[in-house]
Order: sequence, then C-alpha cells, then structure tokens
Amino acid sequence: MSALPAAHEIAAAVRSGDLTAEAVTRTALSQIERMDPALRCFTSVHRDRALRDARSLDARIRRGEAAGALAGVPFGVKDLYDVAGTVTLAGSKILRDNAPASVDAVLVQRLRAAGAVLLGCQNMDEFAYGFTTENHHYGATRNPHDHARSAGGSSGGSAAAVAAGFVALSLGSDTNGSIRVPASFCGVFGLKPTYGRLPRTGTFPFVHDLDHVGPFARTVTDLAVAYDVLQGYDAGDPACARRANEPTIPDLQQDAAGLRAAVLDDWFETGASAEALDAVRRVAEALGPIRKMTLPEARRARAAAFCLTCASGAALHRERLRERPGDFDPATRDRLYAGSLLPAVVLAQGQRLRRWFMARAAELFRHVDVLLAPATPDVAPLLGQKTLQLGREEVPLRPNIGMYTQPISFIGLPVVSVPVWTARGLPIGVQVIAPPWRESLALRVAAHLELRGVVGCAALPA
Amino acid sequence: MPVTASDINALSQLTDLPIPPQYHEGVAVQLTALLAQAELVLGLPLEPTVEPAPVFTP
Repeated sequence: MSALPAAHEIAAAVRSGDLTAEAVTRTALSQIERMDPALRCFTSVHRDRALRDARSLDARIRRGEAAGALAGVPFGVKDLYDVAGTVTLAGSKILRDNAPASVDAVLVQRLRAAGAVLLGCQNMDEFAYGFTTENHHYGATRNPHDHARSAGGSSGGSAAAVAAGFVALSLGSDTNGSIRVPASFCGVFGLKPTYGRLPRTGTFPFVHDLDHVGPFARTVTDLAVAYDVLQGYDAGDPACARRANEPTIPDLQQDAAGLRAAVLDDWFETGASAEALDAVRRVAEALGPIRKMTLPEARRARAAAFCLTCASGAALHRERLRERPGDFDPATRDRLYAGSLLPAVVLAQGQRLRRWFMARAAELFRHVDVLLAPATPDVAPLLGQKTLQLGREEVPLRPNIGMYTQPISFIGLPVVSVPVWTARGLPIGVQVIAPPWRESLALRVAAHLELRGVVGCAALPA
Repeated sequence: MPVTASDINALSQLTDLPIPPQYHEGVAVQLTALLAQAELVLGLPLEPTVEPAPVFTP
C-alpha cells in the first residue's frame, strides 16, 4: 500500500481482512517519518502506542469480534486534546511543565472505540489564538499544496496532515474559524458542528463561550462517519447539549437538489478576492438559481466575537501572563494583555448582540435551508506575510483571515467547509452554513457538491 | 485615537496585572485595534429586552 485511501475505504478493507490495521498504521507512520520534517504537522508521533493499538485491533478481528466503523483508520489530534501519557501543550512552551494527561479526551476515546488508531498530536497556534500556525515555539506548519504558504490555523497541523495523506482523519477546534480556515487553505473538508453538539471534555480551552470541536477529512463520507461516531452527550462539558444522536450517514446521499440555498452578501463579499467569490458562485450554481441574502450587522457580530475572544483569553491566561510573560509567543502575549484592559461593558453588550444576531440568522433560515459564504477572503497567504489585500484596502493579515468565519461561530451555527480549486491550483473553502443542530443538511449539501465534482480534495503536486 | 505606550503603563497600574515596559508598544497597537472593534459592538442600539446569549442553569 503506497498512498493512504479514504477512511471509510480503510475501515471496510480492515473489517473484511483485505488489509491489516498494522499495515495501514505502518504506511502512515512511514509517510510521516519521511515527509513531516518538511511540513511540521506533528508535534509528537506515538509510534509504539499506535502499533500496539493496531495489533490489538487486528487480533480482535481475527477472533471475529466487531471492529467498529473506523477500523484501522489512522488519525491525529490538535495538540490541545488530552492524550493519556502525553503533556497537553496547546502549542505553548508554558504548559510543558504540566503533568501528562491521565486519560484521553472524550472524542479521542470515541474514535478509538470505533477502531481508529491515534498516531500523534498536531501543531497549532499557541493557545489556539491565531489563523496561521506559525508557532513561535514549534515552527510553522507548511501548506502541503505549496510549502511556501501557510496551512492556516489554529488547527493547521491537523488540516495539513489530512491534506498530505499522513492521516485519514484529524480532530481540531474552532473558536473563531480554526477548523474552517485551515480546511480552506489546505483543501480538505472540515466540520464545525453546532455549539454544544460535541463534548470538549479533555481539551484545553480558549474561549469557553465560543469553543467548538470537530473533524477534518478528505471525503464527505469520511467526515460524516467520523461525526456520527463523535456525537453524544458528555457531562464533563457544561456546554454540551443533552440531545439524542442524529446520525447523518443514512441521509447523506439523499438528493440535495431541492434544498434552498442563498449566498450571503454585504460583509461576506466585502474585500473577498475574485477567487473566493468565484468559488462561492460555483458552489451556489450547483445548488440552483443564485439567490442572495443579507445577514445584517455581521461586521458588528465579528467585532463582538473579536472582543469576547481577547478578553476571555486574557482572563484564562491572567496568572500565566503575570508569572511567565516572556514564555508566550509574542503575537499571543500582546493581544492577551490588550484583552485584560478592555472595559467590561463591551463584553456585556457583546453577549446581548450575540442573542440579537442569532435572531437575524433565524429569520434567514425561515426562507432557505443553507447559507453560503467564503471561508477565507483569499487562498493561503505566504508564510511570514504580514498584510492582506481586502479590495483596495491593505489590512493586517492575522486578525482578518477569519473575518467571514467569526460571525458564524459567534452564533454557533454548524458549518461544513468545502474545498474548491482555483485556476492556479490552490484550494479555497466555501462555508456551507446550516441552522442550529442541522449538521445533516450541511453534510448532505457537501456530498451533493462532491458527487458533482464541484468540490473535493486534490492529489498533492508530485 | 491611538493608544500609546504611556497609556498602557497607566492602565496596567490600575488592573493589578503589571505589563513589563518592553511590551507596552506592542500592547498599545493591539489595544488600539481592539477598541476600534469595541466601538462597533457598543454602536448598535439594542432594546432593553434583548437578553445576553449565555443562560446559566444552576
């Protein structure tokens, strides 16, 4: 076996005995060993544990035991998920002194229970505060499609590892766009579920009010299989909703042609590159006549997410700022200090604005099933790039990459970021945004687009 | 109005979180950007009946 097949294909082959989990794991580990030094997707690779898990699964299959929906599927996790025996770094130097985690994060447990094999922990922006994965302590993750470009962030190592074929699945987190931005830049599928859908138990937090967790994959089927395995209430996360599982695989291939879609205009077109707008147009055309809608005051919603993030992050890291300011990534530290000086009235008003803005989104969903918007204003920037061209305006790059993702996660809507390919061979993501708790709709639309060849993962350049 | 390094010095005295002088300039740049966003948040009039988003359930 040379290249890593899709997760659902691996699982089928391992269950049927055509492949062993150990062979798949060895292939993935050797790819990582050979190619990851150039890309820096992983901060730690757990070779022995992975091979032990794979052999144990193979033994269970030989005994005729049930192997699980993700039998033998190699996966990695952003380095803010607890992995038993490993220190959860969250991209920082400061947390290196912590004790290793004693148990796996709940979502890691669920993937492993379904037969998936954990290969290691993946690079990220420090404390998840960034959109580029240019980590001061662990280096920059390079984009597999163009090594001079960013993989996006903050779950950059997780998206790039899937794009590079090191793993078939990864788990990331998304507070303001940290699944959708790297999915866009790396050309893979990413799911940010509804706020509260998946438990964050055993993950290092950033902004409790806005933190989401979710998977990356190379096919929509893989994304849906993983999501179905990950679903379920867990009391360890106070924000986790007590909802019954709603499996998405049964309806995934159901025709989406009758669904009503609209393109978000106004804020979601402002400053977008021609390639970003073209990607949205191509997705919209595949879903029927193009209809546009306005989500009012998205700029202010984004501003509120920006302020809540900065201040909540500052509160979370206050003691670390006091005791070890020199050990922060400079890009993180200055923003957290600034957040500590923000007047409280902004936070109180921001939380009310959040309720108001959700009501505006609900009005749109009375008329359409899904909304479409670019995931990022442009394709992946070059590593080290400091500014971004938004129309005629040149703005600082880092805070503005997430300008189209922030208003959506602010109100917790489920989104699948789908990869579209530009004429110059670089990917860009389009957000397929569904009403709360309707992940199944966004996944159905993504499957429809994938089947028609409008979106999909591409092979890496030779 | 842009925040200055001396503003940061004064503010940090009030918040019981000392900010070392070598960071004042960088923090001033970030706080200027943050306050521009805060202005947008405070600029939308909301009816008094609009509740905050989080609901605490004891």
